[in-house]
Amino acid sequence: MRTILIIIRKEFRQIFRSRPMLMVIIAMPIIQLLILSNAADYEIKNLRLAIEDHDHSSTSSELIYDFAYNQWFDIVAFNNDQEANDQLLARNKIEAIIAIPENFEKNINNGYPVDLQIRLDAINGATAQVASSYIISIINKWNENGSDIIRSRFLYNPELNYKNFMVPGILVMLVTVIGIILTALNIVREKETGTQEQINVTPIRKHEYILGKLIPMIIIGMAEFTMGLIIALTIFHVPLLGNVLLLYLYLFFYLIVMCGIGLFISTIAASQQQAVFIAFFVMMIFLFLSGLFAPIASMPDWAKVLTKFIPLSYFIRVMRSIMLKGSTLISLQKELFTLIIMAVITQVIAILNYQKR
Amino acid sequence: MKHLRIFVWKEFLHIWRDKKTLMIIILLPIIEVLLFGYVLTSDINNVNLGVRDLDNTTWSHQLILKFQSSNYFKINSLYTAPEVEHALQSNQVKVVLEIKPDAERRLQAGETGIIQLLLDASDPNIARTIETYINSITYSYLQKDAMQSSQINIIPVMYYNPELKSVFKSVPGLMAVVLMLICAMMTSVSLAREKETGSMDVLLISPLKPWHIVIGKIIPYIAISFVNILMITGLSYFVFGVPIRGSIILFFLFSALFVICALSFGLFISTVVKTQQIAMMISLAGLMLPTTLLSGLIYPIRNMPGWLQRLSGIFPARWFVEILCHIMLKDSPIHYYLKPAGIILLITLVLLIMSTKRFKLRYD
Amino acid sequence: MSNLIIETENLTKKFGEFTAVDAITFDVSEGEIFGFLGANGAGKTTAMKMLCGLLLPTSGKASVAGYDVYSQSEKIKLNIGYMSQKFSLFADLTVWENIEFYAGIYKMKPTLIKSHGAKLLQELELEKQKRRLIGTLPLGIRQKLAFSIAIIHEPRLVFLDEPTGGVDPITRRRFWEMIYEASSRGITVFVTTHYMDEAEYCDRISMMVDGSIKGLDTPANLKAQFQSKTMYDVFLKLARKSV
Repeated sequence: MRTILIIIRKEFRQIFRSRPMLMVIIAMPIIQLLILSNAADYEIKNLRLAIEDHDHSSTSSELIYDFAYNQWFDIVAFNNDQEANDQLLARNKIEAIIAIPENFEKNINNGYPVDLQIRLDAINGATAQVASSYIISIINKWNENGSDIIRSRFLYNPELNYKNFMVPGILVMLVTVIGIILTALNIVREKETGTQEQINVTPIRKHEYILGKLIPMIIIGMAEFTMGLIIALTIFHVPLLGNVLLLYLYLFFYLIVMCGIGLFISTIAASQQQAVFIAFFVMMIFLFLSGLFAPIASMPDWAKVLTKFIPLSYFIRVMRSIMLKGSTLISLQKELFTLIIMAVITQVIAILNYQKR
Repeated sequence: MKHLRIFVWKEFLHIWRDKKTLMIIILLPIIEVLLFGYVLTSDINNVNLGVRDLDNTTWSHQLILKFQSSNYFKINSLYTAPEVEHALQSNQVKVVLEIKPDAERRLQAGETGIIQLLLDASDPNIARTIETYINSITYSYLQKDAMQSSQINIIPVMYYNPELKSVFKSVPGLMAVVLMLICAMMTSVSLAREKETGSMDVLLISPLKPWHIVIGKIIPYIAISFVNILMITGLSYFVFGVPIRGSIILFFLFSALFVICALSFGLFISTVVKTQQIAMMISLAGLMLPTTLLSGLIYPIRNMPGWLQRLSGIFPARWFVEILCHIMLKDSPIHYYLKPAGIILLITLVLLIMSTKRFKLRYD
Repeated sequence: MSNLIIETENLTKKFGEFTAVDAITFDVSEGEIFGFLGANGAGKTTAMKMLCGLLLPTSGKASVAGYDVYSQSEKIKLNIGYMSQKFSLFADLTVWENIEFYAGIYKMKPTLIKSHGAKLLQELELEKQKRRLIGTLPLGIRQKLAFSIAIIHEPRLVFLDEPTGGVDPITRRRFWEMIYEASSRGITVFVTTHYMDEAEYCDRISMMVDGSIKGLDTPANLKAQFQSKTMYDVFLKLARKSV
C-alpha cells in the first residue's frame, strides 16, 4: 500500500515538474474546449441566396419579400442569369438559388400546380438538406400550407442549442485523448529509457506498479473533467439537470477503461512513436463511432452494433442524458453495467499482457 | 546532392523497419474511408419511435402502419404518460408520437394539434431531421385523404452530389485530416527522437547542411503520403463512387502542396519541443480535434462565429478541403481555388523558414 | 567457511535456438567482491538478470540469499540492491526525491530514510545539491549516487551491471573505493564488467566466454595459471581457447 503511494508521489512530481507537460494537460484541453465548442453547429445562421424571378409579378414579389425580410436569409444576387448564379454557387458565394418560373402568378391564381426550383450545393448533404428544409418551410408558410396538425415539442433542449449537444461530447473526447495517450506514452517511455528495468528488479510488485501508474492518470483525468465541466456550466451555460455525483461515478469507470486501453497500448508498442500511432488509430475509430458527430441513430445496423463496443459512446450518452435530461441511475443502469464490465475486461487484458519478466 | 540521397535512403529504412507504425499509417486511411462512407450519414435509419395511440381506430392504425413500413422507424408501443417519460429519459426512444382520441373527427372539424410529437432534442440535429421525416410521412398520409392539397411543388436540385451521399463531403475532409495528422506526427516525432537520442549532433557535424536535413526528413513522408492519397481516392471511387471530376494532375499537384504543408507543421513542432513525448502529445492531442472540427469536414465553416472562421484559416486543412471540393466534385476552373492554394503555400513557407531558423538557433 | 549467498548449478538460458548462458555452475560467498567478467555478448548480463529475478532460467538451479530464483524472486528482490547499466535514476526528479523513492520502495521507515539519506548526502558531499535534478548532474556523480542509493537499504548483496561505463579511469578508481567501503560493511558485491583491469580489484572472478564459465578463481591464481601479467592477457588466452 505504502509502495503505491510512493509511486504515485513520484509520478506527480515528474508531471508537475515538466512545464510543457502541464501545458498539454491543462492549457491545451481548456483552450480547445473553449474554441471548438463554438465550431459545432449544423444550424444555418445566414443563408445567402440568389433569386431568379422569371415571372416579375406581384405574387412573385410577395414571395421574394418573405425571404428578403427574414433574418435567416440574405439575398445576394437578384437576376435571371442562370449561369452566373451557378458560378456563384460553385465559388461558395451563395448557398442556394431559388428560381421562380414564368406564369407563377397566373397558375397560382387559377389553381394549377406550380414547380419551384431550388438549386443547392449538395456536397455537404446534411447542410443542403437543412438549407432546403428552411427554404421549403418559408415557402409553405407563405402559401399557408400545412396548418398545425402536428405540434412538435422539443424536449430537454427546446432552443435546439447545438452547444448543449456538443460541449459535453468535446469535453469527453478531450479527456479521453489525454487519458489514453498520457498513460500509453508514460509507460513506454520508462521502457525506452531503461527506468523500467531498474524498477523491475526492485520489490515493486506488478499490481503496485500498475496501480501506481493508473491512479495518477485517473486523478488527472478527473481534474481535467472538472475544469471542463466548470467551463461548460459557466461559460457555455450547458444545463446540469441530473446529479453531478452520478456523473463522476460513470466518469470513474470510464477513466479506468481508458487507462486500461492506454496500458494495453504500452504493452504492444515498442517505442513511443508506435504508441502514439496506435493511440491515434484507436481514437479515430472511437471518434467516429461514438455518436459524437454522427448520431448513432443514423448509422446502418452493422455500425450500430460496432458502437456497442466503444466505451466512448456509452459515456457520451450518459453525459448528455444526465446533464440535459436529468436522467437518473435507474434509467442508465445498462450503461453503468456495461462500463464496469468494460473496465474489468480492459484492465484484465492489459495487466495480463504486461509482464515484468 | 549525393549526401541528400543517402540521408533520404536512411530515413526510408527507418520507416520501413518500424512495421507496426507503417501498418497503421497505411491501414488507418482505409478504415477511415470505410467508416466515413458507411457511418457518417445524417439520414435516419431504424430510429426508435414511441407511439401512444389514444385514438385506436382504423385511421390511426393505418397511420402507424405507414411509419412501420418505412425503414426509418421502429415502433415501440407506449401506453401511459410515465412510460413515455421513462422511455425518453432512458434513451429507449428518440421521439414519441401521441395521437389524440377521436382524431379523424377532430381533423374534419379543423382542430389543430391532433398529433403531438415529443422529440428528444439533446441532439438537435437528429431531432430536426426526425421531425421533418415524420411531418412528411404524416402529411402525405393526410393528402391521400385529399384533406390537404399543396399547390406548389418544390423541386430541389442537388448539385455535385445528387444522391446526397455523405461520403462526398467526407472524402475531401478525410484526406485533409488524415494526411495532416499522420504527416505532422511523423515528422515531429522523427526529429524529436534524433534530438533525444543524440543522433542529431552526429547529423549536424556531418557534411549535411541544416536545410538538407529538413528536406531529407520530409521526402520519404511525401512518398508515403502519396500512397495514402492513392488508397483513399481509389477506395472512395471504387466503393462509394466518389469521382475526380477535374484534372487528375492538378489533384496530385495540390495534394502534394498540402502534404508538404502538413509535414512542415510537424517539423515546426519538433523544433519547439524538447522531447518526443511532448512532440507527440502536441501533434496528436493538439491537432486532432481542431483539424477535424475546423476543417469544414463536419461542420460548415460558414456557420461558425466570425472570429472562429478567421482562426480556422490557420489550419491548412480547411483550405485543402475547399480545393479538393473544387477539383474533385465541382470541376471548377483553376482560378476559383488559387486563393486557398496560395494561403497553403504561404503557411508552408512561414513554417519552413521558422523551423530552419529555430534549428540553427539551437545548435549554433 | 562463510555462507554462500549465491549458488548456481547448471544454470541455463536459451532464447529459441540460441544459448545465451550454457549450464554455468558457481558460488559466491557472503562478503566477497565477485567479478563477473567477459566480453560483450558473452552472456554476463543474461546470467545476472536470472540471478536478480529479472529473467526466468530455461533450466538449472540457482538460489540467491537463500531464496530460489524460480519460486521466490520477490523475496530475492527485497534482499538485494541493483544498479543498472544506464544508472537509471529518474532524470527529472531531484537527488532527494530519488533517495526517497528508492528507500521507500525497499520498505525503509520514514525516519530511517531521513537519517540514512542525510548521511548519504554527506558522504557524497551533495548536501547542497539535494534539490538538483539528476539530469543536470555530471555522469561521475550520478554513478556514485546510483550506487549509494542501490545500497541505502543495507542489502546483503548488491548487483552492479557494468557500473563504470563511460567514465574516466580516475572516476572509476574512486567508484571502486566506494565498492570496497561497502564490502567492508559486509555487503557482497557482484559486479559485471568488460574492463579487465577492474578484475584486479575483485576477490574472485569468473570469466564468461560464449555462455560458459571458463575461469573461476582469484585474480592472482588465474594469472599464475595462465602465466599472464594482467587479467587482460588471461582473458585473451581464455577467449582464444574457445575459438
